[in-house]
Parts: sequence; structure tokens; C-alpha cells
Amino acid sequence: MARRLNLWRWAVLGLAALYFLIPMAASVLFTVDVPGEGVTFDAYTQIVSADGFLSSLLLSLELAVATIAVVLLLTVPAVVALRLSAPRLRPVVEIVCSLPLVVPPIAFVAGIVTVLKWGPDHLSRTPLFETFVAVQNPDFPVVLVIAYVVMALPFVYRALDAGLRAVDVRTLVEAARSCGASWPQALVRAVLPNLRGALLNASFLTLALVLGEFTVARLLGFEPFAVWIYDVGGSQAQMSVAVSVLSLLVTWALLLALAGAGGRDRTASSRG
Amino acid sequence: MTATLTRADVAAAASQKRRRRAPGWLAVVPLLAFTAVAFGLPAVAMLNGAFTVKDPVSGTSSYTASNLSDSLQGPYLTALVGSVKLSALSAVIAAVLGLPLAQAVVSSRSRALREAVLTASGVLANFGGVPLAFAFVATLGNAGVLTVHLHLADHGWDLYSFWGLVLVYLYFLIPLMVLTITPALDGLRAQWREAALNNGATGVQYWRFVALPVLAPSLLGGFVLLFGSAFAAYATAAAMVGSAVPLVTLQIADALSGNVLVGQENVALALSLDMVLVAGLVMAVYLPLQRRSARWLDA
Amino acid sequence: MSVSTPDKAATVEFRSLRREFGATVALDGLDLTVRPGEFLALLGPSGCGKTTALRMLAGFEHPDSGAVLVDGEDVTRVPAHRRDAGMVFQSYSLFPHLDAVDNVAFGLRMRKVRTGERRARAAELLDLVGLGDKGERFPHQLSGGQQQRVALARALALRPRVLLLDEPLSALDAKVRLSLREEIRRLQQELGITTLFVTHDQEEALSIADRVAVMRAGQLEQCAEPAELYGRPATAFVAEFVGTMSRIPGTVKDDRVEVLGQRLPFDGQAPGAGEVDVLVRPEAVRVRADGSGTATVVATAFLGAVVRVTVRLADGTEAKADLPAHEAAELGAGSAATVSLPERPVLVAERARE
Repeated sequence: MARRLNLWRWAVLGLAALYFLIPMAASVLFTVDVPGEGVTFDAYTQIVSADGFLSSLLLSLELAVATIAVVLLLTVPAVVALRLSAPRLRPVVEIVCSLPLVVPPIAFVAGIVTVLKWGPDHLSRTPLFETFVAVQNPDFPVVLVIAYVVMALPFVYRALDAGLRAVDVRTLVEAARSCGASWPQALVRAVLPNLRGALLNASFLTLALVLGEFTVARLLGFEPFAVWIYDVGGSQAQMSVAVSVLSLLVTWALLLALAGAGGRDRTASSRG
Repeated sequence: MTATLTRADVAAAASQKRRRRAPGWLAVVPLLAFTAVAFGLPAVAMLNGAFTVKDPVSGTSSYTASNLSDSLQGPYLTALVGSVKLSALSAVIAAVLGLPLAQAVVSSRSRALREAVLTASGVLANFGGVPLAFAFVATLGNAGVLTVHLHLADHGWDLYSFWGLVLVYLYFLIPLMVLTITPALDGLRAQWREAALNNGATGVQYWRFVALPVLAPSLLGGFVLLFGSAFAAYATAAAMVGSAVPLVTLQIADALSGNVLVGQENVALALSLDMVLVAGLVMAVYLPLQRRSARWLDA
Repeated sequence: MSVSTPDKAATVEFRSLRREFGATVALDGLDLTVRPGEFLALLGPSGCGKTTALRMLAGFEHPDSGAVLVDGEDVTRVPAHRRDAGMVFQSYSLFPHLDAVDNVAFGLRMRKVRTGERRARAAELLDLVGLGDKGERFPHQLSGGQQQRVALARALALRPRVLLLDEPLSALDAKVRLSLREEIRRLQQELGITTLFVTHDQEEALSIADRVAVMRAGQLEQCAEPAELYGRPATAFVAEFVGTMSRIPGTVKDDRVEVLGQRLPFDGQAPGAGEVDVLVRPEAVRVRADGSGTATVVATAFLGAVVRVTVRLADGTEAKADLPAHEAAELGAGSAATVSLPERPVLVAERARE
């Protein structure tokens, strides 16, 4: 009976491994085995020098950093305050932070496009118009950061909420306060270190979201990394697949780094 | 000495209390204000636009339901139905395949296997969009490695089709299912299985009468989550099939960028509203289910 | 009442059961017979194999060697769902998606008993455990004690030949634990069903069971009625695990043991001539205030009817004595005293190493 169970398990895992590994293996093969040229790593060596690669990757990373900073600055004080002194606002914040889940990115961007059109249509004579232009600066489109923060809110809120559930914030703060810490000190020295796992988790989710985001950026006409891969795909098939493979590897590396940094927290909270 | 100390303490405590009042809800204000602008404005714009038509000649706007009715007709309706069908089907398949995979991991005593599969699921569930599409194009596209080596084209294989999209969507939906259902499977207590056997149930009967009913809210919740995820997906489809398969996200994108017809923006907004309604419906199903399963499995 | 057990209660036999989990030996040749209709408690420290033995009878564990017999029939290879043994688990074993009635009726449903019939019988069983009015409640709407009552009713639903209780009270708070254990005893006597009860709580075992089987390291130490187990423990382990015991150093000489200046007979075999420990219950130790005594009172604790006095003997060992309150009045901490034992056979054990 036990053996049959094992057989069943290995069959399931084996099939899953096949399905998930074949596309990756095939992609690698596709990029290095070019018909007529034999095995070549050109697709990979060309990436760095490719037009727009560095600038789009940098743009994506900058957007990611900005988004993470803004979303954490907005949510961390709010969720801590909800635990400490404003529990009645909790359902409100929970709903507000879940709302973006109901609006698919494509619908969200449709709304943004409409709002941005108000600029030239209605506001061209007011100082607000300058703001509308500024947020759409192609060098650093603030509007994307704003959109990504909204899109990341549900995940970040959940990650932080789960992290806080495992920590008795009130006791921590009271203990820190009774040791003479000021409010900001208590927050930074006592609460945040205990939220390390949750913060890392939230940051990773946001990072993954921003690096992979395509819909909003493309429809607003910007070219961060995901859009660049798409644009390159039309002309250079090999290279676009090579970049796809690389981007997957990068995601792996990031997640493993996160698991390494926050691993202990994760197991601790899963047991509690 | 003691007296002064006490008085100082009281004063400090009082001022603390006074100060504690204020920051409580103040800390929440920036978050709410930001969402009101960054999310509220586009949402209102979408809602407003979905019910507005602009006369191309005079430039005046008027309220109407014609966008909405347009969005539920002809190619738009086909796209909406296509999206719902694709999402529902992929979600069902992913849920049905993800459950045994998660169970294989949960029932294994190997911690390493568990960590490996869950970490991989975390990465793959986030691995949507353009890179995923290109990986599959390289594998099963017209010039894909498997297509060429196994002569799949001779057997009528076409990645750029409804079923091709299903196959690709499963790549991030199955891991998402594994992540969603694993905590629920962990919550199944060994005692329930033993109590069932003790009451004369066979292994199959245990799954039929205990495990699956207990998991049902989580399974349905997982399905709903997968549905929403597939329903909202745009990048994968855009990079892979262009507009070979009618999907509502592709329609909205085309209408927004004026690819099809000029002046279709408001229909795009109406389509967006349709999507929000579907997604909202799905959420309305999901939340109560989530609450129930939490009650059963955390007790 | 139709909620009766099979016509004849069953005999259960464990025959040289052996089971290893990796490097640990859970059962090391367990032999034990449970008489028909008997309430037998399996008592021992955690890891002694008592739960493994119970789970083998339920069919959840399988012995490496040995056999489990019910009414002389070898059931070792019978799968769990055909064992005919109702089990109550430590806690959380009720199916969360079913109300109390459906939980109790679950086994009957597996047997394809018609809905009306099985619900009627489930209601009857719930009445029996005093929850007749709670049938519509779901597990999360019931208290811990109520949940265990429902679990008890569920275990009895299929009229099993044996009832197995795996520490069913350990997750409950003290008051509920007391009342529920009396309830279990009452039910068991009413139904006359052969019952095995696993516990690590010696007071629970002694107060509820017909016989108590004390286990240690996968083996049976002693199986006897509570009074005998307490009064005439077969081994030093049993003596010290059941109730409180003090060790007082003594010397074995010519079939007698010299202890506290007395020469007393002893039960059983001496572990060898020479230095031994004499094992004594606190109620058998006499302490008298005596200015010239060599013992010193270390502490006193008021226990209600008696006062437990801890004394340090001349050689530094400590002994505990239970004295009536009026006798203990003059024995404050620090006062000198004389310690003696009644002229009765005592139990001796190998000298414990410090």
C-alpha cells in the first residue's frame, strides 16, 4: 500500500516536472541551436549590446525601486497603526486594498488613459496641466509608479497583514516604549525587524510585478523591460527567447535570495 | 523624590495618551488618499466614459447606455465569451491538475521536496506575460523545438489557438493552484482520515465524503482565483496570438490604441466595465468561501 | 434501550507486539490481555508505546512482529476500516463540514444505512452522551468537552466490539475533564463494552479503570487493579510512576532491611544484599517533633485533609510524609524531628545513583 502510494506520487511529480521543464529546456535549445549555424551563443552575447536593452532594464529597475519605496511607505505605517490604535478602520483599509484585484490591469489602464486625456482636453490652461505632462515624462514615467503601487497594494497588504498576525505589535511597542524608546524608534527598532520576512515578501512580490508588467506600460506607450522583450520578439526571435530565459533565471535568483534571507521567518510563521 | 517621579510619570503617561490618539488614523490617511486619487480617478473615468458618447462633429458629450450594449454585441461579445470560456476552462484544468500535485507534495515526508516545489511554484506563478509566451513559442510555435523535431504540425498542432493558450496558461495557473491549495491540504488533519477509516470508510470514501467536502471551499476559492488571473491576462495572449483568438483584453487594447476603429475608446471603457463586473462577481463568490474554509481548517 | 452493545463483550489480546520506528523501539514485545467488558487503562510516560499499541488495535499501525487478537481471532492483517473498534481521538477529530448528527451517523452512512434510520440512531446516541439538543450544531459551535462527547457517540455508532480512547481528555480543562471522565465510565459500565483507555495521567487511570496496565519503553511493567498497583507495585518504576514515593537508603541483611534504625521485612526479591533504597508512600511515613531528632523539616505544604511535610534525613536524603493537620502543627520548617516507618513489609529497590 505504501509502495503504491509512492509510485503514484512519483508519477504525478514526474509528469509535472516534464511539463514545467520542457519549455525551459526547449527555449534554451532554441536559442543556442540556430538552423544553419549550429550551436552558437550569439543570441546571449548580442543581448547586452542590443538597442534599448540596458535603458529598458534600467527603467524597469528604477520603476521597481520607486514602486517598492512608495508602496511600503504608504502601507507599513497604515497596517501598524491599524493594529495599534485604529482597529475600526481595518475593514475599510482591507476593502480599499482589495479593490484593485477586481479591476484587471487592462481595465485599469483604460481608466488611466481616459484620465490622462483630461489633461490636454480640459486642463490645458491650468497649472495642473504641467503635472499631467510631468507624470508622463518618458525618462521616468511617474504615472507607471502610481499605477504599479495600486496594482501591488493587494499583495503587499496581505503579505504585511500575514506578517503582523505572527507578531504581537502592541506588546512589542509597549515594551520598547517602556524601555524609553520614542514612537518612531519603537517602530523602527522593535516592529520593523520583526516584520523582516513580511517586508521582504512584499518587496519581492512588487519587484516581480513591476519587472514583468506589460499591459499598463505598453498601452501608455512606455518601454520598460517587458515591453522591450515584446518589441524585440518581432524582429529577433532568438534573442527575445534568450532574454525570456534570462528573465526567468533572474526571477529564480531573486526568489531564492529572498527565501535565504527570510526563510527562517517563513517557517516560524507557518508553524505559529 | 518619589513624589516628583510619580508626578512626572503621570504627566508622561497623560501626554502619551494624548499623542497616541492622533497618529492612529493619521497614519492611514496617506494610503486612503493615494488610493482615492490613483485608483479612484481612473475608476470614475472608466465608469463615466463607459456611459458617455462624444459627438464627433459638435464635440459635446452625452450620457448613454449604447457603449455598454455595443460591448455586449458582435465581435465584442464573442471576445467576452471567449475570455470567459478560456479562463474557466484553464482554471478548471489547472485546479484538477494542481490538487494531486499539491497532495503529492504535502503527503511526502521530504522537506526538501516540499520547499523545492513551493519555491518553484512561487516563481512560476509569477512567470506570466511576455517571457512565458516566447518560451512556448520557442517550444511549440511554428518553428518551435518540439514542433520541428516531433513534426507536430503534421498532426494539426497549432499553438496560436484556443487550446494552445490553455496549454500556456496552465504554466502559471497550476503553480498558482499549488500555492493556493497547499495550506488547505496541510489543514486536513490526520485524525479526520483515521476517524473516517475507524467508522468503516475506505480510502476512496474518505476522499469522497470527508476530504473533498472539507476542501470544497478552498478548491472553489482556488478556481475563482485562477479564473480571475486568467481572465485578466493580456501580455501572454498579446505576445503569442496577436488577435487570432478573440479575447476581451485584446479587444480593449486594440480599441484603446485605435487599431481597429477610431473613436472606440468609450466602447473599450464599457468592455472594461464588463470585465470589472465579471471580476467583481467572481470576488463576491470567493470571499465568503475563503472565510468558511478558514473556519474549518484553522480550528 | 436499543443503544446496546453486542450480545457478548470481546476479549482483546496483544501477543508479543514489536514495532520500531527507525532507531526508536516503540513496542518491544508487548503481551497484554483485556478481559471482556473490562475498562483497561494503558498508563505510561510519553513514548512508552501505549498509543502505538492502541493504534495497532485500531489498524492504523502495523506490528513488525506479533499479533493482535479480538475474541481469539487474529485481526493483525484486517484493514482499519473493517476493525470493528470505535475510537475517540485526542481532539479535533470531528468532521468540520458535518453537524453533530451527521458526524455520529457517518459510519452508518458508509454502511449505506438509510438516511432516516441513521439519523434516528445518531439522535439516540447523542441523547446517550447528553447532547440530544445539540444535534444541529457544527463542531466549531461546540465546546471542547461537547466535541469529545460527540466523538464518543460517533465511536459507538457502529456498535463496535471494542472502544478505544486515545487520551480523549488531555485537551480539556480540569473541570470538564473530571465530569467527562465520570461520564465515560458510566457509559462504559452501562454498555459493558470492552474499553482501552490511553493516558499519561496516573490519577485519571487509577480513578476510572478496572485495571491499569503500566508501560515503559515498549514493554508491560505491571497490569493490576488500581488498589494493588498503588499498594503493591511490582517494580520500582511502577511504584514511582504511580503516586508519590520517597526513597530512603537502607541495608539488606538476613531477609530484613535495616532502615531508619528499624529492621523491617520486605516484599519480593531484594536486588542483592547490601545497600538498597526503601520505597515508601508519604502516608506511610511518620514524622514526630523531637528536639533531639536527626531529621530536619524542610518544608510543609497544606493539602486540605493532610499536610505534606518534607524532611531531610541525617544523610541528606529527603522524604515526604502526609500527616493530619493537628500533628503537623508543631513541625515548622527548620524544626528537628524523628522519622519512622510502620512495622509492615516495605518495597526495596536498587540504590539510585545521584
